[in-house]
Amino acid sequence: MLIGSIILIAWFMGVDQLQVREKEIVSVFVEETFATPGAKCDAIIRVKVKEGYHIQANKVNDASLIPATLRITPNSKFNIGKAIFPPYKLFQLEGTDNYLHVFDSLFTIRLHIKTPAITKAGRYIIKAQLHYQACDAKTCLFPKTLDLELPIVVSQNTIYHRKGT
Amino acid sequence: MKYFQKLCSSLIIVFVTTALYAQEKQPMIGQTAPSFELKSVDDKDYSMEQMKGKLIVIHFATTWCPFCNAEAPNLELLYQLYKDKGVQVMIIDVKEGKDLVTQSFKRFNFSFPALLDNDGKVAASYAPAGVLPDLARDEVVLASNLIIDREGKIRFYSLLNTTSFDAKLTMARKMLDELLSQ
Repeated sequence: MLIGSIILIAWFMGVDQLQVREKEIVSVFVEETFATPGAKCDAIIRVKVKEGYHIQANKVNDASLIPATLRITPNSKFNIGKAIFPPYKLFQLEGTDNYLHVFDSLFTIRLHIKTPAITKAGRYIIKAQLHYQACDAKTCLFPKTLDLELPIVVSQNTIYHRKGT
Repeated sequence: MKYFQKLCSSLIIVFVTTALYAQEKQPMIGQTAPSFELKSVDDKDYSMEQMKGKLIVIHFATTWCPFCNAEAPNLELLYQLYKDKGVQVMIIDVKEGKDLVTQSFKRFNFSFPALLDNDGKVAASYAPAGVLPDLARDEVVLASNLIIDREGKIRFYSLLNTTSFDAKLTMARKMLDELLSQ
């Protein structure tokens, strides 16, 4: 029993309460978007926030907070609409009446794209940047920016489908 | 069966006591606080040296930090309660411009100095070695509170990753009371 307890203590002490072991707090996943000249489509950006963390939502309730934003690099091949974020969740700061608007876990950002009729078939890249500021229930991290590349495949076919469906 | 029950009981006790220990664990306690010389938002010079003999409460902040903003009114309240007892409160803002900090902190009407750690070097010097190794050193201390005693030793360090968020500064005030009674 004594040996078991010692092993357990050693194990528990080894799990350093102070350390964040995973580097990536926010990860982004994008797939190819299939587009047709003259038609509209949605690029889907899936964002994963590390368990226990959240990022400030795109609409914050305090002007000093840093909202999540998706900045799109202008692209002459497409007409790109505003990023559509999901509804925010509420996060209460412990011991206060303050609620933050946040995103956590997995969420999706949609980007409306219209492909002009003159755009030729091919594979294009729309560049974007996700800017966010993450916190957990105890601490906050500096704002960060993730560079994204959204691949858009333009086909002359009128029927298209998303990859993997 | 009895052996198994005893083992389980012992393991539970070990878990609970170790968890409590981890909750209470604060870094750098008893160490000499790193010295610094910084300018405040109103261009005055502050250093650890000139505050010798006082109890110093330092809060590392940024304007966008929700924990810092939630705590800000309570920090001002703490200062009002303790300023006549030889306690100096100060905020060290990490890596933000003077104009932004001045503008943002206006709403809190701080009567204690807000210092500018423009390059984050002071913040980094207060990051305990080995803690949060994946983070930038100047990021580790954000939203933390420290109390430095009259001899320049760190006596309280609520590095938020090790303690629960205490917006009302209950633990810091308890420590100040302890130090003032010594």
